[in-house]
Amino acid sequence: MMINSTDVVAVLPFISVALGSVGLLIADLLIPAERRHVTAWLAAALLLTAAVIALSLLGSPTFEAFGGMVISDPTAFFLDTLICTIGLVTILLTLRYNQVRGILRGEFYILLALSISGMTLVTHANNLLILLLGIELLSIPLYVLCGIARPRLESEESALKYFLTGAFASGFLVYGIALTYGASGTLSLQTAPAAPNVSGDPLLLIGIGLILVGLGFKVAAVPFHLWAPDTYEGAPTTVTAFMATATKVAGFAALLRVLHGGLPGMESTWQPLVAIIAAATMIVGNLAALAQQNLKRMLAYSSIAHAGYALVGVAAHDTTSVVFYLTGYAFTTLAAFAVITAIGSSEGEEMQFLEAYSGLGRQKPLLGAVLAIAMFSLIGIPPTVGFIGKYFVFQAAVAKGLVWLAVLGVLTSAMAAYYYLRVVMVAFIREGSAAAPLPTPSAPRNLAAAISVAAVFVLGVVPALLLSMIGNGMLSTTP
Amino acid sequence: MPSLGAEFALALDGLSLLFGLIITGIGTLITIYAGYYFAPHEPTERGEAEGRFFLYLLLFMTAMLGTVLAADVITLFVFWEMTSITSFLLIAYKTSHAASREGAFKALFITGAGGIALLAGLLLASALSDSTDLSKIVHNGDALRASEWYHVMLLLIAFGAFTKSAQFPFHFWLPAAMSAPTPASAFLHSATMVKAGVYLLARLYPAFGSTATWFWMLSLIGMSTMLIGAVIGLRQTDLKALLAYSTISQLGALTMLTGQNTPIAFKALVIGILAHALYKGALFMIAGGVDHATGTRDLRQLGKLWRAMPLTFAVAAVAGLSMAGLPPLLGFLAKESLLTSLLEPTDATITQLVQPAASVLAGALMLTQAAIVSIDTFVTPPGAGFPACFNRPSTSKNHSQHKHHVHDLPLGMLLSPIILGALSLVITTLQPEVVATLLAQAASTTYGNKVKVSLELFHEINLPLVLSGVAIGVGAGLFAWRSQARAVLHHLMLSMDTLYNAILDALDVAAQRVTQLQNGRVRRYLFVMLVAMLVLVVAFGELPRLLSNHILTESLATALQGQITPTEVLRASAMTLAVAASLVSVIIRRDLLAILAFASSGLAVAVLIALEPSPDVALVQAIVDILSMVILVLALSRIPQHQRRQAEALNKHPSISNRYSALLAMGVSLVVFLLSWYALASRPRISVVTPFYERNAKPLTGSADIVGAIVVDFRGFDTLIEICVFGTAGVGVMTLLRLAMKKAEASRLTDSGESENNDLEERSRLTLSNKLSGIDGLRTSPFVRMVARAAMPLSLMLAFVQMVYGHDQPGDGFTAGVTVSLAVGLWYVVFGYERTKQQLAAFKPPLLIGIGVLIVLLSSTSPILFGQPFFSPYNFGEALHLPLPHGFDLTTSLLFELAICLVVLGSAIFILDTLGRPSHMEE
Repeated sequence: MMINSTDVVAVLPFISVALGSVGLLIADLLIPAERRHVTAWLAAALLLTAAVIALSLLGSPTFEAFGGMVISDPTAFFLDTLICTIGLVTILLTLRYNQVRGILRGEFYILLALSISGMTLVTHANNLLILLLGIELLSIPLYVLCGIARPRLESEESALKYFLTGAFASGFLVYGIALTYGASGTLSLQTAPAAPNVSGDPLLLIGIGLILVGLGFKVAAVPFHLWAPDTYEGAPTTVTAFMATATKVAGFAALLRVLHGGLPGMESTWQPLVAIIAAATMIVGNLAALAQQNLKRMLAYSSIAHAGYALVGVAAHDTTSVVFYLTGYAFTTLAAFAVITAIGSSEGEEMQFLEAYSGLGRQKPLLGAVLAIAMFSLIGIPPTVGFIGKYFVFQAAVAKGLVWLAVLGVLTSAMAAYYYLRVVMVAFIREGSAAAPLPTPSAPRNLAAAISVAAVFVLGVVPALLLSMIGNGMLSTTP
Repeated sequence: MPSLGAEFALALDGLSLLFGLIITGIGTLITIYAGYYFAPHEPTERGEAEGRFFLYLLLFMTAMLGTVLAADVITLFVFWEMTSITSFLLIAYKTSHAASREGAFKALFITGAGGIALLAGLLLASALSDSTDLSKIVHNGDALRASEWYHVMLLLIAFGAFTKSAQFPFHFWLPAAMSAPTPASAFLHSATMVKAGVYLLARLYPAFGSTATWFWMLSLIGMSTMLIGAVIGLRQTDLKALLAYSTISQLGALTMLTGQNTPIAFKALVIGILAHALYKGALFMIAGGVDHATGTRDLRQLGKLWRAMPLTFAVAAVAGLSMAGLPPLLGFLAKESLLTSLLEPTDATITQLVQPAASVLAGALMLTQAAIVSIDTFVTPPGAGFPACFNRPSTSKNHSQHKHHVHDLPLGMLLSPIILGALSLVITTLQPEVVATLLAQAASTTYGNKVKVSLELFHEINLPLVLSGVAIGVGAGLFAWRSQARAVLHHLMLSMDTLYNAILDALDVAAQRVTQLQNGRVRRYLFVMLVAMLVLVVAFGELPRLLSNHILTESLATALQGQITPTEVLRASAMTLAVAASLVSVIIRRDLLAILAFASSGLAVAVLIALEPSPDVALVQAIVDILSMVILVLALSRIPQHQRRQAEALNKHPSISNRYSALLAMGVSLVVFLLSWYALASRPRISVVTPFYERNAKPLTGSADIVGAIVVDFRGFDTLIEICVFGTAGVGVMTLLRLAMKKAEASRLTDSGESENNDLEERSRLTLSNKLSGIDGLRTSPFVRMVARAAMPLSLMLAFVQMVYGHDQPGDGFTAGVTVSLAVGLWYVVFGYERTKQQLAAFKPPLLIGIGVLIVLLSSTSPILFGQPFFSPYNFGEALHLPLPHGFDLTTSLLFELAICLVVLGSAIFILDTLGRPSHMEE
């Protein structure tokens, strides 16, 4: 296997995060137990470096590397940047939260970095095996992170459920990959459908269908979403924030790699399937969110619903709109979780129920404002990024003739307004003294909230900024 | 925003100018008024709170101006939603009132939802017009009307407009929004925001109008709104609520006018917009003033105020006359032109009768309401005109406090209503050319052709004038018998609020249903996933087509014709064993036996693979199978006995869900069976993949063993990442198991002081027995110990051989690692935890993993030192001319295998170590 320096450049973000995690593992041994936040800051520095590296590579042309195993295009590097940035913001959120709950451990950050390394591999996957490896690499640390608040029962439950269903989904994925390989004789996403006599092969179709099931699980699309609310609710909030954003982005990166970047000429085959899943996801996610009284659980369902909107863009074969939507969604959700991590007693009891937020807007106007802005962006009200994101995906759907999907998206968005606005109402308008005791302020957390809110507005007002970075979408090397 | 395909663009034409002037003009007057409105009131809230109000008000004004000036649909939508949000802030301004909060929420939810629908409609329209430029869309009317999406677009846009303009059945948010401070109500809910829907419809008339759908939808909705608003308004006891319903009625009339496809209707529309803005703004401000002076807005308590507030009364009278549609005010002209345009011949003759009749009725009711506002409040004594069923509330404290010092409003507060009232009069009497031109311009741009507007009050005695007279007569009569009319209405509850609540309740129920699926049980989740997978495979994967494929029957025929060789017999028996063992593992109750059965099915599969023949894969399968079994058994020994028995007991009673699970499992097995069958039957007789590796393995990688070559060379990149995955799993296990144990240990040590002695004794006893015995304190025979001792060096040697020669022969680093792990596992079982730890102290998991990862990094980077690219295969032995025995190559591949072995060993020991730890050491 001959490898040259351009090959290395193709996965430089992955390599730097992976090597950095190993370094972190060693460094953590040298840091005394009571100074664990040093590991956190080291991890933050690592992710910042990786983000900068990925950012600087945005301008490089599209090319395949490692014998076609991985591919590099501006979209992939953009997704790397996004994922590393999300990781960075998550770390800022964790410092105070994890300390209060006694889970400020070195491994937390090492596992986080390892998971991110898997994500940065998924974004470049051009081969089904690499895709699988990337997904496993990102998943395994997450199984552990969900349960890291052991011996809290809800955390253990969350981890176990995620692991069991996740292992199941991985099984589908592997089986699908095997069938695809069996049908086409290749693992390459570019050449699989081009192999002679396979384009209509039922085995190939079933294989791709099963791969979609596995990836549908990762992005929590209906009907593979059932794990998400339980896992999101039980996991430590910082982990939930990370899963609802970075993992979702990575799951979509995998979907985009398979459907948009690979499998040329098969659009008509997968499009109806993705459209149906998108529709079901939007309906079920929003409907279920209506009934929630627990804010964390509501955000879990909301993340399912938003996966539905992003899937609309996937079905419309418009990579740029999907990536833009995910970027906006990620920062908005991080802002919302920044508020949740801030609310809670100093003993580490979390205040997840909506009731606890009444009067927040008056007691802590800034915190309340962040929450309100996040909710407005999740509804899709201008001038927030949530609006532009929805605009792009719906426009893409209309342009592709999927008008029914866009209309359904609009109707469910209107329904979603109800439960998001309820949060704003409770925080600002309801009489409240019931608000939970607020722990001492945390500068890193405030910074995280500020970054997220700034992104929500800046991207909402100047979306062109981001569009130029995303590039022209996943480029299939075979035109 | 060029990338959006949209830009921030504003444009001014006749229609925008009319609206712009109304917004800025009335906005200025409202601002002046609000300054006085807030001044003596609630001294504690002055300062910041008041500033907040003006901030919202000005923000709203900006948004409203932006809406009417927007020349691009996206710009329009952005400002449109901004008006919703700022109005939300204004309605909820008095946050301490529950009514304010509910009203604000309702308004935002309804208009916000409408806004999103509007966006969809506008996007569709711009997609069909290839531009977001409003003027381009407007000029693309023919194409839009011909489009198959015309009705969808129209419905979406109308939904947006109707919610904003409080049209039936979405009208109920407007009365609820009356909890806003009065200056806001006067501005938003009469003069400006609620007219945005009408503005939008008028603006888009050239694009979507002049079709039958347009006519019927707008006429019917507008007419129903006009009537419902007028009727319900009469029932109100709150002055502001009454004004709100009359606003709804007027908005209905305007919508109805937009629906007519005639130039005269647009003349009536622009006059109506202006007239309503002028008189309703004034009346709202007066209502606020009355509230201010008396402390109540309840019509049952207000009366005879003309003495105390003569100037206010005068203004109210003028504005009320305009609202009643009496000459010589602008309201009269508005009603005249409304009736004239409705009498125009249309396609459907029925509307020519119904619409004017409805308008006359609505006009009569308007007059009654205007009279209530002006006369009941100021002239008649309190409570006059209310039937007994309208119980008077007990006089509130608030009211009695204010009652004795009622005085006229300060001039500053009256200034704005005076100006608005005067304008209603001046425009018709002086008939300034500039206003006529302005209105004509607005009507023309809307209609798309020239529309003449004159402000002449009387032309001749014609049908509209007669009808107007009828309306006045009926209205006056209704006012005289208002008590009876109210009594009738009181028993006729017409409330969309109930429907709104019912819909929300229904949504709630649906939401509950959806969440019921989420019962928290993983079994249910997996069930759903499997069912979905089956549906997908059968529907999407075209399973029927697959089944009808002739390959299947052909393969069956070939199989039946074939001869039975000894290998076939072996294969068949291995297969039977695998199936039977799996079945047993499901059926059997004892957990330990189930695990053993499961493991034996895995071994049978290994035999099958070996017969294929692929010894490498078979070796891995066998070793992994054994290792998993060891780990499972170790884990089982850690579960308390009573829990295990509980689980066994649970299995005795198969429940219904068990039966479903069995059915589902059979279905999945069947599908998987069919898939495998098809895959095997359709695969090419001659392998395409294997010859490539056979040809290239030795020359390219220096390895004769294809599997080894694939793992470390052809797919070395995968392997490198796989090592990362493995290491990650190791770190994960350590995090979850080890640290939690340390924690438990620490808490146990600090926990109890008194039982410490007992504890110590117990521990020393257990430790002693542990030193002598194997797992769970069971004694092992000397023979078994001897075997275990021998197994360790043997496994090490085997591992070494596998690694060194694995490149050409079966075996590799992974199997080597697992082999050693198995020997270690045996030690744990035979010698027990403590002793194993002591004797195998060198096998420290972190050390093993760390060295493994380090070797990978070094071996992949070292070729660079020899001038080779990163990651290339390199033979150090050859390069450095080391005297090595034949077949032993010191290559990067060897180092790679070694690294894999170490990492696997480290991870496995981690798990064994944790599971093998006796439970009393942790709890």
